[in-house]
Amino acid sequence: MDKPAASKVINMERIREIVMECGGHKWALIPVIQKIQNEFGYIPPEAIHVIAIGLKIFPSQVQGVISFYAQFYTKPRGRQVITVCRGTACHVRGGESLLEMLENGLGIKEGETTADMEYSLETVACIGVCALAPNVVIGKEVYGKMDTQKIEQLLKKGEA
Amino acid sequence: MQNRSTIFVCQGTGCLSSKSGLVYEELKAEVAKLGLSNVDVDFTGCHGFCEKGGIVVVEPEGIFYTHVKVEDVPEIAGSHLKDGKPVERLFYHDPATGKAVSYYRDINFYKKQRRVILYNCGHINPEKIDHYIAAGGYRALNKVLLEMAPQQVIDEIKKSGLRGRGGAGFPTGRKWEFGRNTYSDKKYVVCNADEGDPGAFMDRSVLEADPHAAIEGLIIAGYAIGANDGYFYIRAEYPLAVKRLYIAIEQARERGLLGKNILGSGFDFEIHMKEGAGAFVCGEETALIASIQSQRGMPRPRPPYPAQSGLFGKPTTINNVKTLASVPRIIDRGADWFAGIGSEKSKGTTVLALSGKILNSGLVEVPMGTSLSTIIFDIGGGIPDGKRLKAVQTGGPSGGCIPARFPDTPVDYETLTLLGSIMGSGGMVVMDETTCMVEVARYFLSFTQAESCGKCVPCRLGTKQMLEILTRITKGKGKENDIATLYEIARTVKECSLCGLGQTCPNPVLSTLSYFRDEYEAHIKKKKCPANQCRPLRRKV
Amino acid sequence: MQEFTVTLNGREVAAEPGMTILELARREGVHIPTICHEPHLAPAGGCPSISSCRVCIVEEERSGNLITSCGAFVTPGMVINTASQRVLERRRTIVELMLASHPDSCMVCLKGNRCQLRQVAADMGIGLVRFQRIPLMSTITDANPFIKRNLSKCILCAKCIRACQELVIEGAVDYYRRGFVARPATAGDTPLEESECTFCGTCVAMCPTGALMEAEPLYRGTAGTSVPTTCPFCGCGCTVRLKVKEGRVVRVIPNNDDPVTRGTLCVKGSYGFDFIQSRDRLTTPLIKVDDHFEAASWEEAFNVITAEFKRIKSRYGSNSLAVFGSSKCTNEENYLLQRFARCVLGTNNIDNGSRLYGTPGLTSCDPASGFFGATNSLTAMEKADVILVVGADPTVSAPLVGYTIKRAVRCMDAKLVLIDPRETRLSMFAETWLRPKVGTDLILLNGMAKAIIDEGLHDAEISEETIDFKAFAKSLSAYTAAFVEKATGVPYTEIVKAAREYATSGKAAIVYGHGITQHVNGTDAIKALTNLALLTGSRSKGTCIYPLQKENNAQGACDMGALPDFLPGYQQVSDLKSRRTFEDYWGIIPAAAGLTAFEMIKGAKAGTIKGMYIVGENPAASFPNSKFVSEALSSLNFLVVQDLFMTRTAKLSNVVLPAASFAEKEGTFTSFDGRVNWLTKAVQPPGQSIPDWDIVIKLAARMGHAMFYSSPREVREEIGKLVPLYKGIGYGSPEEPLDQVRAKGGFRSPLVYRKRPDRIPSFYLVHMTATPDRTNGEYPFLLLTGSNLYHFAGGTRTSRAPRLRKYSLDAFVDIGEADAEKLEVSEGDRLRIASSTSEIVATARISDTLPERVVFMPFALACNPVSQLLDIILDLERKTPIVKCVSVKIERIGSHGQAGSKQSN
Ligand SMILES: Nc1nc2c(c(=O)[nH]1)N[C@H]1C(S)=C(S)[C@@H](COP(=O)(O)OP(=O)(O)OC[C@H]3O[C@@H](n4cnc5c(=O)[nH]c(N)nc54)[C@H](O)[C@@H]3O)O[C@H]1N2
Ligand SMILES: Nc1nc2c(c(=O)[nH]1)N[C@H]1C(S)=C(S)[C@@H](COP(=O)(O)OP(=O)(O)OC[C@H]3O[C@@H](n4cnc5c(=O)[nH]c(N)nc54)[C@H](O)[C@@H]3O)O[C@H]1N2
Ligand SMILES: Cc1cc2nc3c(=O)[nH]c(=O)nc-3n(C[C@H](O)[C@H](O)[C@H](O)COP(=O)(O)O)c2cc1C
Ligand code: SF4
Ligand code: SF4
Ligand code: SF4
Ligand code: SF4
Ligand code: SF4
Ligand code: FES
Ligand code: FES
Ligand SMILES: [Mo]
Repeated sequence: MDKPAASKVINMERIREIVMECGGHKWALIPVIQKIQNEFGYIPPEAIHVIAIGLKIFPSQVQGVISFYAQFYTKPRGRQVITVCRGTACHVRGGESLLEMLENGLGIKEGETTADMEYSLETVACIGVCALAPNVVIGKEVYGKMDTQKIEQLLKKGEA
Repeated sequence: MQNRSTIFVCQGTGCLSSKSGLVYEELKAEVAKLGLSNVDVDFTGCHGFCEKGGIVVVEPEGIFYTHVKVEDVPEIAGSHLKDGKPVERLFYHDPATGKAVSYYRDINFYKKQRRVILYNCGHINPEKIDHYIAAGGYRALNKVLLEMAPQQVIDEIKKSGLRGRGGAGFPTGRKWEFGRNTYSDKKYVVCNADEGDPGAFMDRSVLEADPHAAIEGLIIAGYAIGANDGYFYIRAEYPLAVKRLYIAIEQARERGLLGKNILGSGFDFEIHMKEGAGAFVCGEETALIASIQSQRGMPRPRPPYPAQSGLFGKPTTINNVKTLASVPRIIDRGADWFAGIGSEKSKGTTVLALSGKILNSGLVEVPMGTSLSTIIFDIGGGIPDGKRLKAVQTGGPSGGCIPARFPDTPVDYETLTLLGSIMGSGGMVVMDETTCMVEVARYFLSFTQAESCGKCVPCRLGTKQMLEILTRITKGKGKENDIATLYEIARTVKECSLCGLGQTCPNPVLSTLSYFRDEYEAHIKKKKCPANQCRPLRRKV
Repeated sequence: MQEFTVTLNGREVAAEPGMTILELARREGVHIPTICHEPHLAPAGGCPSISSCRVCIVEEERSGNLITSCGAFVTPGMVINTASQRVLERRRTIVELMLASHPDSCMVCLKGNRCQLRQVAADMGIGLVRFQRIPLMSTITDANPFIKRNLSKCILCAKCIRACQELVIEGAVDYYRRGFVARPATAGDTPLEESECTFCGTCVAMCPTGALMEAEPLYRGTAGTSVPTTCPFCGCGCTVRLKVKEGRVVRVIPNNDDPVTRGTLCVKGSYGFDFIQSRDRLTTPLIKVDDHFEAASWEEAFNVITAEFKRIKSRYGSNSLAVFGSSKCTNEENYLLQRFARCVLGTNNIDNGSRLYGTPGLTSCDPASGFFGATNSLTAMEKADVILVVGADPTVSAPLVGYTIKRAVRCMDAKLVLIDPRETRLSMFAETWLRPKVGTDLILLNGMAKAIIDEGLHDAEISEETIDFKAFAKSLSAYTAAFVEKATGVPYTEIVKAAREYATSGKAAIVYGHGITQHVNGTDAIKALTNLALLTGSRSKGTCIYPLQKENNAQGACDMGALPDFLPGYQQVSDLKSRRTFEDYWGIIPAAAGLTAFEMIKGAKAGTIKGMYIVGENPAASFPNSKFVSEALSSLNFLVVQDLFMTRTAKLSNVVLPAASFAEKEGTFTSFDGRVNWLTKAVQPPGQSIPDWDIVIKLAARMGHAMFYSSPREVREEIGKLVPLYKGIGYGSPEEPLDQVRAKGGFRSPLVYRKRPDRIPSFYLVHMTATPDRTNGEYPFLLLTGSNLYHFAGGTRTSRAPRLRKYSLDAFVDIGEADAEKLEVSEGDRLRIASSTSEIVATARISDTLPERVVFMPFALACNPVSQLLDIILDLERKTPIVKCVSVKIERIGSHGQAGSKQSN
């Protein structure tokens, strides 16, 4: 999947359109943010004022909402997003060491993106695939029953 | 002539991650290639046994295949579907006896379950409304809308003894009655599908495998309360459930089960979808409402209760997915039937997500009051590697631990609460002797601490303090009075926090403190981890 | 539900439904500590409190639950224990948790014993904190002179957030992030000066800790006394508390008991009072000898004045003398001044600042609706369903009104229809924002009226209940879509949309300001607004009209008859009966109406006016064509100026009298919506200066006219007797806190103020058929003037408030992006702005708020001689000078960095 690259100029016109498409009222803030993130991969900070004006709320409130939810990002993310599940089952079955391994392998910490904008490493509270724990999500694919070997393979293959 | 058969490939999130998508495609191609005109290839949602995925079931025989890979497809198609010879190597193998079990119904994991909420899961195609209808779906709605007055519906639910499956176990009939008796020009019903407890995935499974059940329940709730708009608040981390819900809603609308004048009854009802954005606390009712309103999902004090002033300031009734999915079954089969299942005060069944140190992990639905040992040993197949059971953690981060010395504990609301845990969302993590209880408490607290919205002082600052203490204990740096301080803060957080998150998050700490205080003391005083788990304290073996 | 009983600490007490436990406890004198609770904040969802700090927990003994008393309602049969062992322990733990994440710096913290956290901790006897220290990070450094944040002391009570979002509705801060790291932050987490913050100070006053503090306090310790009084700047009439230490006002906080202001102020109220202690204050009477002033005693000054006024009166007649009353002085003082003019000098030549600059609003509503001034209270405005704001920028000029409008929109779902060519802070709140060409409002308003009538949205009974409706409707035929659209530049569909919103939304409120009154046809435009108010039933729906043009006591000065044609209470001076009432008390009053302010100035120039007494006005600085005004004043035989400072006008005088400021005297101000607020003396006037009322009484006595009042209170008692509008005003006393007086009913109710239902309202037939285009080839730009939030009026006082001066003093001109590009002007460049009258220099600010070929300059900057540019054109009917706009040419003379002059008016 080709996620938009980081340096892409943000099309403010499109952001204004999205705001209008979602109805242009304050109850639509989260759907607007979700839509922007779907299209741009993150919420460009410069979009905050545009959203605020369009929805007739304050920029600080838009930021307040964005910063509250774990799934909203204000920085561009890597082409591939690797998400390690931190749910109970995954934790019990060694999810933490997977995370450590990925951190070491990619040279970034949780929540960061590699300098070449290739990978972002994230965690999620639970993806509800506990029976296959530990799980790692890459893009939209869930990889169950992960272990350090499989991670190594993935890292080598360049798939992650 | 051979009977028609259908081969169902599980397309739940779990099996899909075992590449069952490819299996499904491949099967279709293979069946077409072989020209098997008497075989339909179809798919289902989750069977609750994802660990054994990809799961493939051949109906009506009931042959149950596990761990099916795309390479196995030619053999299944050729040997089983064409030649009628099931592929034994792909059968479920009983972990205790090692014997292959060919039929769905004979698998121990399923044999002792009683599936009321998960009734259709794994048996119908969730993207086909006709499957649901053929299985008796929307019969209840029909009955409700055409034969019952709203109050009768509420009476029926009250009679069934149904209690909320979202955690608190509040009697659903009474909740609906409040909703009904609040006067307003506009009311809302909301299905809480924000399932955020780490280690719980039953709502996901229901929505992926049987979305119409929740939809039907929501419409009935709307009718009973007098609401014409319903919302699904669903985690965005469940993309497949979201997708299937959208499809199901669309199909229901096409059939006139949603929209204006449903089934000619004069009742109008619309359903709206709201996707969450990654905040556990949004499962709390007032936070959920704020989140639907696109605000920060921070709980507010109650009263006013949502039933008085909820979504957009209007009376709002919120129910869990499983609560709503139970409703059509209750109406359809009668309150007495439902009330006949379960224990004295907890009626019906409970769905548990069994995980941890257990042989069969998966979704388990049992009558309320089923004993822990039945669940763990008979259904769950016991503890692997010959280890001993140490404790069971129920209710996720809001729950507590029940030590192994209470094996006969009946799993119902009252008993679990009595033991310092809760039913909660139904997470059930099995722990053996290699589990460190301090570490378990630390883990759950690290979750709640990270998910605290930060609004109120005890939770925002208290969880941080407790986490600091637990972390230093597991690192061997515990101090003499840490246990006393933990107690003090935990009590304050529990008794003084604003919302359920804070009020319950000390439970894992308090319950481990009361049952496994010696482990804490070993960490603090002897700088030892009895389970040998905490890395800085690990013995060289 | 009926009253019921609950048990409170073992005692049975009566409670009413809807009351919180905290309210009950307070009523019963039971102390419960609170930190996050703030009665002025009404959080969403109908909870009485957000209950986030949890220190106010109490135990409900039947259920065994701990509940927060600030947010929980009492219910029948409750058994409440506010101080059980368990409650005390939990509270203590909670406070210790806060302190564990709090710097240990009470000794050096400027919040001192105003800190609620420290107080609560001290009450509990918390010494050492037993928990681990987990400090909070505070990285932001604010550079403004008003507010400094130290978020390491923030306990996240969210009062600042709620104050900013629910009271003043600036939305500068909101919660940022969540959990342990959550804190209040601006968008982009910038310093305050880069945010929407207007430095109103509301949040600082509410913050329970040292997280929000004054940046440059006048005094670091705790103030001694706290004196309730009223803000001397705009007409909103905010009540404040002056914190006094060693004879100096060291801090100003909102008066929390005021149900109208609800704990809010604006930046001037919070940080503008420092002028009281300015070194520039006049301290002694001054007499001009040759070209310079010499200090004199009161005795000497009065001697000179008495001699001169008497000489002029006997030589040229009473009507060669004139008095400027003051919209800054108290009701009592203006009352005395007009008596002085009428009975001592023997002339009705008295006017005041509000006439000077905007009386159209005061008088023109009268015949139609029977109202003078605002027809309802500010509190009622908040309940309107639609608010029409025309030519006013209350977010700047009347912040409290701005807050009210924004609250109505944001919290009460009112619709705002805004008419302003310039983008203002209200634009983002407007449902519809019409941007007419400057000066075309009359056409626009008539167009709206026509749309309403065409669509049949007016009141059904209108022709029976009003006069001239049919003629009015007929007269609008000229306002066709094409004409209105062309003349105003506003798309007709927008006008219709606005008309519909206005006419169909239930209760309406109309707010207007100088944007229409200070143009040539200002009076007519107000009449057009009155028509609009009548159309949808000023009777049935109670449409309220709020003229905004107000200084602190502009309303009071007019109410008190500092007007050439009216005695106190708008009783015609020409009316014998009215005169009689007062003559019984004061002696003979001349019958002929006097001159308006500008006629006086012109008279001075023409030589018909020989002597003037100017109290608390600075026409030489703020009147249009200041050169002309200065010449006129200089040509007087004798000029007395009574002021706080050596103003430009004072410099032209023969005698300067040093007056006490509002903080140094007693009396009352009447706010623009008719609330009468107390002044209480907080500090001694500097040097020999004395209050205006005292000066007037002494001077009158010296001139042989004894006025038997020994205090403002006695003046007030007479006002209460003689002025129907102020009936009963004398009952209260300044020593009593304002809220108590109000509760006792000592004041008239603001709600029935000025309603005169005995009159039948009539429509006005007002027209404008040609658009005035005042620009031309030589002067291609239209310069608009308006208020500046950080300064006030002529800026005499605010330029002497160090913090306001520091933050914003340089003269600037806003210029649109497109125009700037054409002129090759960039931000910060120095521009020469020239009109046919004069030229000035100002710094450019590039702005996207202006239509093309329009530039904007605030008039309140001390160094800003914008009034120089204006020529004197009067509104024909009300004789108000047109100071809103002038055509200019603009030239870039230097790039940025060259500072402006920092002088004072
Ligand atoms: N901070 C501060 N507050 C003040 C003052 C101050 O100096 N500083 N002064 C006080 C005094 S004395 C007064 S009288 C009031 C005045 O306060 P307001 O009556 O609010 O007057 P202005 O500030 O001049 O704002 C006039 C508005 O009208 C708009 N306008 C200009 N021309 C037109 C036009 O042709 N049509 C329309 N529809 N709008 C137009 C301008 O763009 C501007 O937004 O404020 C008082 N408050
Ligand atoms: N171009 C342009 N010019 C304008 C305007 C405009 O829109 N455009 N607006 C005009 C308007 S609306 C106004 S109101 C004027 C305001 O202009 P001014 O009337 O000049 O207002 P202030 O600067 O407040 O000055 C009033 C004087 O009263 C003095 N004073 C204050 N309190 C007291 C007191 O208690 N006793 C005594 N004796 N004196 C006191 C102050 O020291 C000050 O010198 O500016 C006008 N000028
Ligand atoms: C922190 C927190 C998280 C919660 N999460 C969920 C959830 O994910 N799903 C849910 O149904 N209820 C959740 N609840 C409970 C709900 O607030 C609510 O009680 C429930 O949805 C009511 O439905 P029921 O009566 O059908 O159980 C949560 C409560 C708290 C305090
Ligand atoms: S208890 Fe925790 S999650 Fe709930 S309101 Fe308080 S801080 Fe937020
Ligand atoms: S904010 Fe209060 S508690 Fe904190 S240092 Fe200042 S005075 Fe002390
Ligand atoms: S800065 Fe002050 S008012 Fe704002 S949240 Fe923190 S403590 Fe409360
Ligand atoms: S000073 Fe006023 S505008 Fe600024 S943050 Fe505080 S409340 Fe908001
Ligand atoms: S200037 Fe006006 S709004 Fe500001 S504090 Fe004073 S009276 Fe209130
Ligand atoms: S997803 Fe197939 S069994 Fe759960
Ligand atoms: S004062 Fe009641 S919770 Fe803060
Ligand atoms: Mo004014």
